[in-house]
Amino acid sequence: MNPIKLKLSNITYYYDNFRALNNMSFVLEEHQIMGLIGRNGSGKTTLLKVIAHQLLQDKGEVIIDDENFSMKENNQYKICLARETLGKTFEQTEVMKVKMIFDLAATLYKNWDMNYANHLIKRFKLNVNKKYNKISKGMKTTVGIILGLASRAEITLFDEPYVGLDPVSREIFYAELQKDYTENPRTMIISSHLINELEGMFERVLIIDEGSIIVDSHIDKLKDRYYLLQGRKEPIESYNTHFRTMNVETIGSLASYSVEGPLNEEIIRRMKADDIDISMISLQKLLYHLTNGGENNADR
Amino acid sequence: MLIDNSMKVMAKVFIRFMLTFLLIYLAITFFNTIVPLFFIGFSEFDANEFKISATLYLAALVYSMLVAFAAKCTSVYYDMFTIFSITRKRIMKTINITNVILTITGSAVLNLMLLLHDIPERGLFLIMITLSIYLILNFLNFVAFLGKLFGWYYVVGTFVLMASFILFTVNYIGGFIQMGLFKTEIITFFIVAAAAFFLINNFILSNRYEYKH
Repeated sequence: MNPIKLKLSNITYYYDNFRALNNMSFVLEEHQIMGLIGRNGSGKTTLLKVIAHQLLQDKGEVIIDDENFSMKENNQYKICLARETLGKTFEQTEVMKVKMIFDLAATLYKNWDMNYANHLIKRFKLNVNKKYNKISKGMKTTVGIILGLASRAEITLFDEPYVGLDPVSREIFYAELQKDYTENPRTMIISSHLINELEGMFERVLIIDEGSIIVDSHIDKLKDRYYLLQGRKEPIESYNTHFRTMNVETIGSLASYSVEGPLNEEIIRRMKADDIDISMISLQKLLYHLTNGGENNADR
Repeated sequence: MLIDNSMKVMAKVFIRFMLTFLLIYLAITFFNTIVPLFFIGFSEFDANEFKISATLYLAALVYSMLVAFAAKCTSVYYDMFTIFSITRKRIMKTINITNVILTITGSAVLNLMLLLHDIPERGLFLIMITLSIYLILNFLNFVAFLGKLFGWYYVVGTFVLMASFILFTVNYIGGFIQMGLFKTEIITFFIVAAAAFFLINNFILSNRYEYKH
């Protein structure tokens, strides 16, 4: 196990009277990619902003390298939050060209790799001489991606790093992310709705809903806990004391059960002998079931 | 560490900011001193008069530049640093260091220009100008913080109410300085007021207020 890089303990955040984050705690090891998954308004962006010190939590601590981040004066340049917008300062400043933003980032981040930034600028075909507030939404996302990747920040956070991107640019991003992470491992959190496109990169998954963590698990452990059982309905039902059914979909006599285990090896062997196909449930389906997206399906 | 990457960024944005002001200054100076010569003839050019006008405009430039930059420090540049995840403590330290540097350089430029004029008690003038610039910078930081906390309309409204009081005070304080009256009281006021705004600003930023505006 790698040393712990980031530790959040009992983080609570309110927008006026609305509790956006509710007593959240988790640890993230060094050199690990964590997927942050949740529905709209579940608190993903707020959580990333709190980690990045763009919002100050009402309660709790953000600890980086065993130090309380907010209390440190020079404990900086370690975090880069890449978003689809850099906020109103850059949106409203008429004179801020894209290359100026990269120049400022190069000054701030001690590990900034300008050659790599230039490589990404070419790959994404980004015009750095344009003013930031004049470029398209997709290009703004690209600026965020380049900041995130080229900063080589010890903790890099990507908040939905595909907003406005065309499929080609998305593929470029995924390829560059994997390549750069392999060459320069670091701690990353990627929040995403396009779960199917990104889930292969995640080592850890944090699923949140209404400001609370509902799943915090290594991806391998998820495989040992949540299953998709497919086959004839009767044999599957005969095992129902061994799992909790989250969702059932039936077509004729065939059924597809999303269940929560764990199932021991003996049960799995017996299920396979009864022609029940056992596979890992996709993260997207898991999110759907855990956040009550399919709350009535189990009753069918 | 006093000069770190945040200070380097502040220096970069200041230089860009200063260049804009410098262009405006050159344009104003050119239109007010050189352009009239096209109509009245270049033989009328008076080097001494040109020097006085140019330094007067430069003084105005330095003052307005400092005022604008102090307001920008706590609004635009605060947001910019936040986007790059700089901690509030470091942002405040950067702003505080910037204020000191701007005060020293601003005061130096203004006092060098005053060398062209015959001023009694030049040393006292130097101290007062330095302290007044530092007070103004901290006061503007404070106003900008209020703007970020409560919204700019609120601050503009409050500021309009305060403007008459400020003008009244500045007018009288300026008069007292010129007449050489209440020296100790004025210097004490500058020091106490600047220290108060300094402490309030640092207190505001160290707390978990959210800057929505």
